[in-house]
Amino acid sequence: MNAERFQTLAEAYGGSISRWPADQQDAAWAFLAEDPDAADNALAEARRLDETLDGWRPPTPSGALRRRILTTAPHERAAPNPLRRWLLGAGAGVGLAMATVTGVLVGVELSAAGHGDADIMLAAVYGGDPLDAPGAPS
Amino acid sequence: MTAKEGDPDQDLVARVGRGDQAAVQALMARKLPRMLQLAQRMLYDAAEAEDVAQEVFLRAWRQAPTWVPGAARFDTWLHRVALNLCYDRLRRRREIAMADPPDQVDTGPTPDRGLQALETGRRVAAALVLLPDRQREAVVLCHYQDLGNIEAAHLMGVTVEALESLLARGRRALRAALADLRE
Repeated sequence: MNAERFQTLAEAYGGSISRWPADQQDAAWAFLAEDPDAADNALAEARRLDETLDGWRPPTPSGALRRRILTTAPHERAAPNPLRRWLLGAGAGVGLAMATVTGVLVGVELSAAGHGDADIMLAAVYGGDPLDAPGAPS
Repeated sequence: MTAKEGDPDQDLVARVGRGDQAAVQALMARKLPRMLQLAQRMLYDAAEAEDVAQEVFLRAWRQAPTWVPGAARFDTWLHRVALNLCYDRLRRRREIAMADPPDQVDTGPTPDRGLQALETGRRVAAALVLLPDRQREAVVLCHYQDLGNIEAAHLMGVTVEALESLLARGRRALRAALADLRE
């Protein structure tokens, strides 16, 4: 690397060789060892500008901004509560069992009912004479 | 980015995508100051910079569940989104400025030496905002965001040589504008 290239890199990337392009750094360190005066001058000039530029420190994010951003963040989908899931399952089971028991009781009651009652019910279903019902003696 | 280099944000982004609140907080702590400073240095307007940072994160949250590592680092993608949003706003400003020119940016020194640090910041900000957009972008990405030359050139869609030229011209203009501060 020659002095001109070293100067160009300092002007572009600043006064710290460690922040220069990785593929240029070895050659830059070698030039610094070879011609320390020229290298130091270029680096010192660039470093003064770096320090001036670092004099501008924008404010850090406010709490209000953080809160606004957090309100839009994705949320984990809540895993189902095991107790709630059990209660829901148990409730459905109880409901089904009660319906079954009710059906059985109604069936038993109907078969135990007298013919008179059955005739009345058939008449209600078929809207006429019990004799019109299917299976009635012709 | 090569597979060997990896993406330091990859695991965090995957956790954000699953709605992990600790990861959401960690990603915000890691990236929000960088994104906000990038926007502030590009726009020199605190309120607009906050809007840009908020929009960047809105897009990051949307992107996280489907983020496929490999093509680019997540940090590079965030920078691209932030820069695009900044350029949208700069374009809008230019359109408005053509119809209604703003007051000249005051780049002169203030007399109060007790406020020197504040004054330096204000002067640097004013000098940066007067740079052509591409030179400012190059300086912001390389000096302030500390991106490598290859990554910065890739983000800007220019060659490394072109980036170097933009940087050198930008820094030369800043050196001239801020000469009295460096004495």
